[in-house]
Amino acid sequence: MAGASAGAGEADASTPTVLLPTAAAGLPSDAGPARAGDPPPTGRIEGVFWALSAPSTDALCRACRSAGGTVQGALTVADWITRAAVTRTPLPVLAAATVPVNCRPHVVPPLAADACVCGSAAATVGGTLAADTPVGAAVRAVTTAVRAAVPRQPADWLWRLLHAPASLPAATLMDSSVGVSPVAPAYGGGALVVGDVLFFRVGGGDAGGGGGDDGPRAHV
Amino acid sequence: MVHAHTFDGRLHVACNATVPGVAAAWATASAAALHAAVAAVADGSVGTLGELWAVAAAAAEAAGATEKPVAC
Repeated sequence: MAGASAGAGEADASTPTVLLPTAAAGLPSDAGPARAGDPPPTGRIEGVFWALSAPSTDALCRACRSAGGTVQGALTVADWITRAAVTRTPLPVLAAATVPVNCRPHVVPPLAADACVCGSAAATVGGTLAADTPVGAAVRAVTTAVRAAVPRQPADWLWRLLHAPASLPAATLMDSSVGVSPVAPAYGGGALVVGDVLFFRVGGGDAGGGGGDDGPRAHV
Repeated sequence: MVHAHTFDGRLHVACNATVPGVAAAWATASAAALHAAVAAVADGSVGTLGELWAVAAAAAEAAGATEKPVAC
């Protein structure tokens, strides 16, 4: 998950982009293994976007629930398998991922049910992926691992983040709620999720990621 | 790096894959492979991880994965 801090936008709506600092762009898991002496990558990160249809999304949710897992677990498994497949790495493989977690139960005072802070904290999970492992079992294993990891994560930093002054750089986060955001206290004027873009109001000026704003932007 | 969230009843996924120095073709292929894999989980057309691997590999190849790999 990338913290998103950026300058003026020049991307069109169909190809959202986020300008990230070099350090964020150079994560080994995304750029491939770094070699000694390689200069750090610089430039723009562009995203590739897709979506499931509403019926497929519903089917995915039901499949995950019937397996005793979550959509997050399914995405994690799918991501692992994709990484293996595109590199033509045969199974079994040992994989790991840092995934966002739902921190609502760990925040005081509690956040409303429509305020989602998944992505504001992370848990690291891993496992061995074997060819004959049922997909549902793999999804359930990831879900179980995340749930086991969350209580070990210090949650108080999230509380501090949510009430931090507006000068705080844009955080690493994902917000899946529409219209309500728990980061509002941190940004005074509030934040608004419109489509897949989280709009901040920072320092009295509007900042968004969906159009031609001149302020900083954040894509979630 | 994958961002995923739901709204309007749909799962939306953003693959921030085209980091500097990595071919855009791989970003597209990786995203296509992930899309195919998630769709396969959703429709129940795969039973095992091996089958899921095959779906993702086929999608990546169809999308033109021909260069140095990178996962999204």
